[in-house]
Amino acid sequence: MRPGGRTLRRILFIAGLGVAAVAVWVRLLGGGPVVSGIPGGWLRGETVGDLPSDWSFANRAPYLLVESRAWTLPYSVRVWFLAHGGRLYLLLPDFFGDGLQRRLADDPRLTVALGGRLHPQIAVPLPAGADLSPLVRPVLRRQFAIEVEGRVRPVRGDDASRAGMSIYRLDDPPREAQ
Amino acid sequence: MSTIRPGAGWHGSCLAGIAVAVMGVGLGCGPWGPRGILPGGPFVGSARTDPVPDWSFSDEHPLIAIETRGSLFRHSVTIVCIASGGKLYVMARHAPRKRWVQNMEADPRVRLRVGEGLYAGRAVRVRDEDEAGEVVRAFLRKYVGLDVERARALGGPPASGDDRAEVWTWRIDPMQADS
Repeated sequence: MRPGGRTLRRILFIAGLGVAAVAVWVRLLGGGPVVSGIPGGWLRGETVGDLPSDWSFANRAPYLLVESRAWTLPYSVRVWFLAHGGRLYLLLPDFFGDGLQRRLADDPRLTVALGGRLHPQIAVPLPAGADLSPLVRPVLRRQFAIEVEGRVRPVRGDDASRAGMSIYRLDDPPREAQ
Repeated sequence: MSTIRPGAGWHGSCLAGIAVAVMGVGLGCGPWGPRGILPGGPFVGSARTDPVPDWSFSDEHPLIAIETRGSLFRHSVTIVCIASGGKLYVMARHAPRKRWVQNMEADPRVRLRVGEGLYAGRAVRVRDEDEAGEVVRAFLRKYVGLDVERARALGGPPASGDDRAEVWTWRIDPMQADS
């Protein structure tokens, strides 16, 4: 092999290693998504034993960082949320992708990171047809600067748009599972 | 006699590797428009400049790409689009911070890639409350999957202590003949 060819191969090999190392760091060891929209890996922090009875304080954060416990690889994303009536709700529009929804369908356990602490929770999907207006109004105002009036209905059936939104209430896990 | 420092070749290879990786990323997302959440450069191809009578077909596309004109380079990103009343609208959250928004405010000429089609247009900021209300209703229907009776777009920057996003909306009008 010509010396030039060996050097080129070496450069490409090192470049590949560099890209792979960055990818592994971002994906697994980054402590959550580094770039909004790209899922990250394991969340870091102290796991809380006594879970809050009222999550209203969470509304100070613009997004919620959650990690799914489904499947093999860790998967953490920033999501829209709202603390309402003391509980946390996740709002997952389909146009962000359905990676988290598919994982929650397999395993509803997830970890919520807030203030450097990790809170184990169980995601319970809200039933179709629920009146979403009290829940959705504050979210639309905060995230999209939209004020809505009157009844809010999910678009369903033949009338469905390309995008929908899945809403989950987060419950405390059973004591033995924490 | 020249001496070769141990590790110099290794450092050179590392630098070359980084350069190759940066070039790879640049080529992957740079001159041909955005890739997902990564911004890109100018679009390749000639854009349609005649008026589009009805943009309803854009509802089939959750995401489109927009190319804006910066002072030196063209800058393209992936965004959402809304068809309302046959017209096309684009929106930006936290608008003042975004480069494509700043570009568009300085030079409203844009090009849009909707599916396979490339369209030239002129971005006009929507300030009419009724028009903005219809656009946000269409937005909620398309992107959030919600049908609401009435909706109002909160214009302007949020008041002090208000944590809502600042959202700007533009209508994409046909390119003017002289531009």
